[in-house]
Amino acid sequence: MSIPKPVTVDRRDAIKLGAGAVAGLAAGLAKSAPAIGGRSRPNILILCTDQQHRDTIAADGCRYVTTPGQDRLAELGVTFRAGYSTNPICSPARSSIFTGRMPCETGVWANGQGIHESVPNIGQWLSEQAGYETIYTGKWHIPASQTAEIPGFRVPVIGLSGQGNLGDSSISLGCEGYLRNHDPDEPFCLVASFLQPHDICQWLRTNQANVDDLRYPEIASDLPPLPANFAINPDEPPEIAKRRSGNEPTKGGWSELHWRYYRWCYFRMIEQVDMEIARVVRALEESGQAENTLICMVSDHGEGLGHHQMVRKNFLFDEAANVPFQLAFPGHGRAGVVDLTTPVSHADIVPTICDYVGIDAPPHMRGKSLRPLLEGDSLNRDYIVSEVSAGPFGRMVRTERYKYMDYIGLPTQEWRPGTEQLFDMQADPGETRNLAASQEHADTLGDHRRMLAEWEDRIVFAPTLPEERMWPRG
Amino acid sequence: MPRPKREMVKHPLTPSMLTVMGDLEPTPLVTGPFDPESDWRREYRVWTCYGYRDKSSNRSQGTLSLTRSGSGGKAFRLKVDQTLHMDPKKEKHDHRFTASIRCRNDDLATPTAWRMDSRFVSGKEGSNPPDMDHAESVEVLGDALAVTIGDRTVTRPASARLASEFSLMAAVGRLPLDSKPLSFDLLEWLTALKPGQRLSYRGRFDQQWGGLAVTLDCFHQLGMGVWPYEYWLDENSRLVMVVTGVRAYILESEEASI
Repeated sequence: MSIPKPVTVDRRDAIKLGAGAVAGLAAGLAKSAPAIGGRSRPNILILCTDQQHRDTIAADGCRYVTTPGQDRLAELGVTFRAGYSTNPICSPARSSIFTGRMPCETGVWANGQGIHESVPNIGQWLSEQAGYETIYTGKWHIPASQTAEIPGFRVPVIGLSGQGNLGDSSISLGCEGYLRNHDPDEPFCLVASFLQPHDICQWLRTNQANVDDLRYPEIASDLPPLPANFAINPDEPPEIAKRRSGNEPTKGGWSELHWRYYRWCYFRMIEQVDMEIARVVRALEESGQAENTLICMVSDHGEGLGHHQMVRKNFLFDEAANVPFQLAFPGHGRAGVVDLTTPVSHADIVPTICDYVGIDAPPHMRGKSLRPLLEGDSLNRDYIVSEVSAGPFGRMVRTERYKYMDYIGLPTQEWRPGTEQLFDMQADPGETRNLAASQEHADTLGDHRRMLAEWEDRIVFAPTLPEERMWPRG
Repeated sequence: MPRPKREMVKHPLTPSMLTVMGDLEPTPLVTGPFDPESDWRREYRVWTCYGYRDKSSNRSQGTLSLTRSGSGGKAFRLKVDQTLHMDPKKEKHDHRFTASIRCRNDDLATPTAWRMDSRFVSGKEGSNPPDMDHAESVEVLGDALAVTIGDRTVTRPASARLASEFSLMAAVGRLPLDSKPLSFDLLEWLTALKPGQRLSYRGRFDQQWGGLAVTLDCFHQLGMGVWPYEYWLDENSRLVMVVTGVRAYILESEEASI
């Protein structure tokens, strides 16, 4: 059993909660769940996007998009700039979002695999441990993208496989209906799992051929520039170069103009999914449930978007691994706050939800509750870890200042020593100067190697994880 | 067994590209005289592409039916009935979206009032999870919308130059080819406001429709939150195809002067 955390309420919260609820909290009733109106357990709303690059929210400084939905979430809660995918491709990342375990522990080391039966998901946990109504809409992809059966969830089949541009509106309209029709006395956990901007993959396939003239000349002055770290990193691991050589820009011989047009189109997809988020958040607020609801918005992974001349994902540079990550509990936590430095991870989502619900989290959580950060405290954390395991095989350690990556060849491939990278994320957020060979940073490198070894020692590999996908120990 | 290598589309979708991919063969081009100012009913196939040329991953996702009636005055009514198959491979799971829109008889067919219904229908029996249903009745009041949901009315911002993707499909055939670009805000699914849209004439293009050589006029729409829309019109100003990204609405049938 975990120890209940002290609950603090400020004057404003006390007024909103009412005297009875405050007294209940002070007495430690309902464990650490905040009292909400006549009941003690908050609703949970998980908004998931697919392949959303971190720098795509207007409120967060992106000048190339209009994002009223995510801007509203930024107003309502905390935006984490150092939020990371546990494994930047779809299925592995999602397995962590919904279980709080690392992909090598859920057994989902590549796309199209299911979570090992020994690992409960948040739907099972909340329905069994706390009596929540649990609803899942949209993309699942563990293993099937669209499915009618997810353990622990009621699944009204909503959304279109591979077509976020169309199916995401069905998802948000369905969620809007649910939020407006729901019995306010029963706590829910609703997942709206959108597919956009993942359609950029289809865009790449239908726009691989380089075009020197813009299809729509009137947007010439609106095209975003190339990213500052467009250049290829000379120290990049061979796995990254291999991925790049197989991608559309290389095959199509893209011009700078085509790269910029790709970025322009991607930002339109960001706006598409943001409008779906806006619709759901508007329904939550108009239905009067916003202050009863913990909202978590996250993407499963990022998108290359031209950084290091990459497209898509499945590598550990920030464009793929660093994701939009917002938490809001309107009226009960900090609002309009941007956390620039604390590394947080998909693995933190389940522990955070369980903390707010007031139940123990499932065993072997690899993340921590982020509730202290929402309530203005600090998080006792030195680092988080991410994996890649389908194709490239590597690990990433992110501390507040540095980012360490180690890629190794699989035993089934040509075995070789790891390719290490170390970046100072304050001085070089674009990851352009690898410090791994720098004598000046030898101690830092050693520290990060030790953190990774310490982390890996605690990992409990899924029984179904192939031996060659187990990160070497010792 | 390794998956057979699939050929990417590589180029944006057009009627000619869909012909190359073999996806227009089931739908012959609707031809003959047509008056876009008249009453009509049209049914479009909603088709989506996964980015490859083979048919295995490209599919019809449903239908969109538009009915224009009450033409001749300052306004007309547009009925929308769209069914999307959420999982075409398995048991029936449909999203049905219906709307009745009162449109001004202007260049954008500006919607001035409507009722929309969103429902999900599942299983062979057509059972419905009613808690996912949503319906709104809306009146445009200047630059605001009065939105009634159940017994509650809320006000939302709108704009004086408003269009919906459905009413645009009724409007574009009535635009002169030499018209200046039109600026407006898009109310997508009649519920999500996407400002800063621009509709422009793109030009006349020789295209292939199945085995048929045709000349089509094209308008395009650019703006916040949309993949560029391309509206393809035949010589009688009949909207035969709309392409937005990897989605196409392909005209399958038409009843004119209903």
